[in-house]
Amino acid sequence: MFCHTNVASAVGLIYLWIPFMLLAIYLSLFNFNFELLEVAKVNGARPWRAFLEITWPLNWIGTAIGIVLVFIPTFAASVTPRFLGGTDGAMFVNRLEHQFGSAGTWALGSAMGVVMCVASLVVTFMLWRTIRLRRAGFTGAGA
Amino acid sequence: MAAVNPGERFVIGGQTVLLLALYLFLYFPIFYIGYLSVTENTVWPFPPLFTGEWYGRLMIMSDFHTGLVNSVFIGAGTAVLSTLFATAAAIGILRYPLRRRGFVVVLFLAPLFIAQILIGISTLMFNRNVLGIPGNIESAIVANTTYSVSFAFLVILAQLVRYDWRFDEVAQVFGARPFRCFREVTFPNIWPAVLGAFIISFILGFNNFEITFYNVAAIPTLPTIAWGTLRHGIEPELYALATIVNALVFVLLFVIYLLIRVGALRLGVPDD
Repeated sequence: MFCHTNVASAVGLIYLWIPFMLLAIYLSLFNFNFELLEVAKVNGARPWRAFLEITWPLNWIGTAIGIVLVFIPTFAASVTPRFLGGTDGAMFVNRLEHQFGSAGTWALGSAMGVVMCVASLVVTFMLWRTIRLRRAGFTGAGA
Repeated sequence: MAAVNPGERFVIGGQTVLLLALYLFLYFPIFYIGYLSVTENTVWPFPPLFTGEWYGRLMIMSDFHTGLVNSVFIGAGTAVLSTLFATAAAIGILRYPLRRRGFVVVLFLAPLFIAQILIGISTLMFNRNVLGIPGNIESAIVANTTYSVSFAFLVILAQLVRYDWRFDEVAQVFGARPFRCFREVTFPNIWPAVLGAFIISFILGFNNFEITFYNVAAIPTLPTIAWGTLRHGIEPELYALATIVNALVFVLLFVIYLLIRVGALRLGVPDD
């Protein structure tokens, strides 16, 4: 039904990268003081509201890191869209590979690679500048 | 770390359902392919007719044997190199004062933020055009290491953050040279983290397709065999191959689980 469509590619990629997202969020919650939630509960907040007003504002950075960490390999996916995406499902990297493969236009392929690399570096650099890792719970590494 | 009443977190039914759905989503395909690998009718495998035919056919594929050996070799090489570099890096960063510590950490984690396929293609181009090295297993190991070292570094760092460096100082006060100090004091204390990093980088190198594919030329490894077979349509031998690889990875992960269970390794598991 939705075999060989972009939806199928997306499901495959979600399957592949969920563990990385979990890892990022888990690491950000690692140093979170769960007593804060107790306090919220004592003061009458429902779990959902405690999440929105305490857990999320203090830990959204883990999710942001996870998004970057997952976005980049998803952007660079080639095998998954090739097998799940059908004939119209080719993604950026499939075209990039094509330049190094049968097309033989290595210069164009390299340019595409540089664009991708710069995009990743810009996103990573922005993340690094905006957030304070220590506050996100990624402590101890001296970051 | 505040102890949360464990019963309390699962009061809400929605969370339990979500958790179960996630586990099902993650593990059903793995078990399903294992099931497919032992059934005769692979198109619609119900009711089951069990057979070992696909494993038999896989065993007589000559590519499979060389591929398995090559993959294990790449995995082992990657694991050894990554663990060495990651251990040295983690100790260096935590032990000695660096002015730009955060920057160094980010540099070590940078490969996580670069697409694997770019690492693969650019390593191949650099090796071939600048160094004059054609694609072979060794260059695949080196390329895989650039990626795996980040993971190994994270694993070792997570554990080493808790290490008390005064042990080392004591050893050195008593006259141990740095290497002896590492061998007799540091390493016996951190070996579970090193083993965990070794296993994880082994799995990464063993399973890697995108980096390996561009660097091994025509030498078969398990992922590139799977790739080659898939291009001619899905054949049942692939189910057997996937099951064997999955089983191997599960065994290794179980070792890590045991390490965590006996308390030798703490991968960010909070201690009260």
